[in-house]
Amino acid sequence: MRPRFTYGGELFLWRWLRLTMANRYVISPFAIITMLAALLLPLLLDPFGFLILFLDNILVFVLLTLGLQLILGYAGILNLGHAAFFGLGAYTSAILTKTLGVPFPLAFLASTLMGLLGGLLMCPIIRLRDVYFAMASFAFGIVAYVVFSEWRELTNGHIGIRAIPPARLAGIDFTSSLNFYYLVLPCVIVLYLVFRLLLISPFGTSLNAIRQSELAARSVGMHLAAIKVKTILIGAAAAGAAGSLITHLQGFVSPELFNWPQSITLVTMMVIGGIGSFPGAIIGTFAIQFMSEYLRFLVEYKMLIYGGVLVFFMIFLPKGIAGVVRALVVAALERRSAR
Amino acid sequence: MGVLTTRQVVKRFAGLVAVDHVDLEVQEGEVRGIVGPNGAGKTTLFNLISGFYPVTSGRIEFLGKDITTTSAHRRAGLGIGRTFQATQLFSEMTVLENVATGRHTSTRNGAWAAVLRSRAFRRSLQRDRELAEEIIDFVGLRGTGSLLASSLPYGQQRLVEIARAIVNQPQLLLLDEPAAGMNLHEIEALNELIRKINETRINGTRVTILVVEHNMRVIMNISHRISVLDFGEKIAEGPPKEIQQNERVIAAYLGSTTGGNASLGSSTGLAAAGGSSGGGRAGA
Repeated sequence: MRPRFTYGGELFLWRWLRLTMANRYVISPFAIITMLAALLLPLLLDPFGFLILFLDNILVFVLLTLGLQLILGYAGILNLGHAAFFGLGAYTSAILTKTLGVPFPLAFLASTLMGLLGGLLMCPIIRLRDVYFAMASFAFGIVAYVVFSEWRELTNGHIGIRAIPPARLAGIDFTSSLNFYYLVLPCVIVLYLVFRLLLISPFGTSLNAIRQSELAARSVGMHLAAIKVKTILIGAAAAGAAGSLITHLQGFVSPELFNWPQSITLVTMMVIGGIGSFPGAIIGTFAIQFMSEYLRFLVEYKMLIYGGVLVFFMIFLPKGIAGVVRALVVAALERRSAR
Repeated sequence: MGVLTTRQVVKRFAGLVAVDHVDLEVQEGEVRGIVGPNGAGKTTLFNLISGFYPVTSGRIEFLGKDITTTSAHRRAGLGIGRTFQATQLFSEMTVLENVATGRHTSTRNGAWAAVLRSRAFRRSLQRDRELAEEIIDFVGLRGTGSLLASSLPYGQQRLVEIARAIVNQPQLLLLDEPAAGMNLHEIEALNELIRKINETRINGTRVTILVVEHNMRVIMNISHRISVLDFGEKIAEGPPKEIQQNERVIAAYLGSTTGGNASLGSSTGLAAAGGSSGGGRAGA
């Protein structure tokens, strides 16, 4: 829906909402306000408290879900092995900094590259359609998990790698949750801006096009495989970078974090937040992370609850929370313009 | 010069021969009608020419170059535009956005260009929009640019598809049943539009058009020559007048083996025999 409403002496809020809904902004005022709020938020929180550490963790996951949103929500590729790229990045950073003493910035770049390489490994299956690709990518994730848990010489198996040195950049130490917050937040903001620019470009148009009609996309000269490969590479590289950050945030890595339930959890975040919306990806990440934190006592039933939530959203709210918000805003705008 | 040449082109689907040793020679500026009963292989032939299916054997040439193994997206870039039998629009995009995607092969569309947003890049986007606007006017959809493509009536959606196929100025245009679902008034306008496209000169050459169509009123009206397919084989070729009298064609449409006595002089007569989109082959 691209509603158009009459101009007039209206409040900024309404004007912003209207133009945002019509997709007129490169970066909407709401995105800018959110970014500023995120930058200032730690001032309100206890710097040594739990919440800020929790936020660090969520923001790392936002890097994952933004990438997955590009792949799943825009290109329409159901990737059930996204956690594999996350793991590749995490182990790369862990091994480089711990055993080889490589400084963090280099390890971070290497992790991003490893994520990209992981994306390249996934490319041979890109020609599979729909559910066949989903199954193959699911298997891809399982293979990656087996490598993480069984290649003991390199990964130390199920015990994992511990005492990983904290991130350091330009003399600043990112051990404290507060400092780390200011490491991961710029990453999220940059990724969001880059994705936003991609989306409003012909590349973004081709993503939308191949999702809506592959036949028509081919007829105007779009190279489906190339576009899908690029999308997966971009998402995988972001996941690799997220892997590096989670390694240094936690100080240890073990294979469980990168097993297939993680990939499914990421898809659940998409569905709850809203498939095809970057704010939706962020909302979904927060929703699931808070849910898993505050329903910790139900940990054995976690996947069962996710399954139920997934089914509920697919049936009743297929466009997720972002879709509901969007519908409400559009309705409010229409009511106003009708007056 | 021959714009499109197919030599002994064959397409086989697991035992079924959909296109059987078809030779076509389409000249520059020609409007070539492709007719035949349902299942004769017309759409398959289009899919071979536009590269959507690989050929089983044979050779396809476009502007003198062998494109037999060229992929679909490259053929679009070379100047082959097409539409589909069942309308294929990007339903969540506006009419303008739909048409602008037709410029894909002429636009800088790399990921880097998008992030850096150079002035040349932004200018090329602006140019795409302007061209799309122009073409929307050209096909007679002025003022619909900002509407969702899926909100238009069916006949107009078909025009959006044609606009998207011609915005990049193809030298060869493939129209797959453009009149399907159109009313008489819209069909008149379509005839006019096809003629207008055909008369357009791109770099001094006229646009060559291949049309698959069941509606004989359209095909007899606009085609310079007609090729008739039956069971994947080309059974006749010639100007519309000749095709209407051709015994093998009449036999194929009526499904009779004696055929000769049933003369179909008028175009409407053949249209009635061929059916607009339903069963072309009467029980024999």
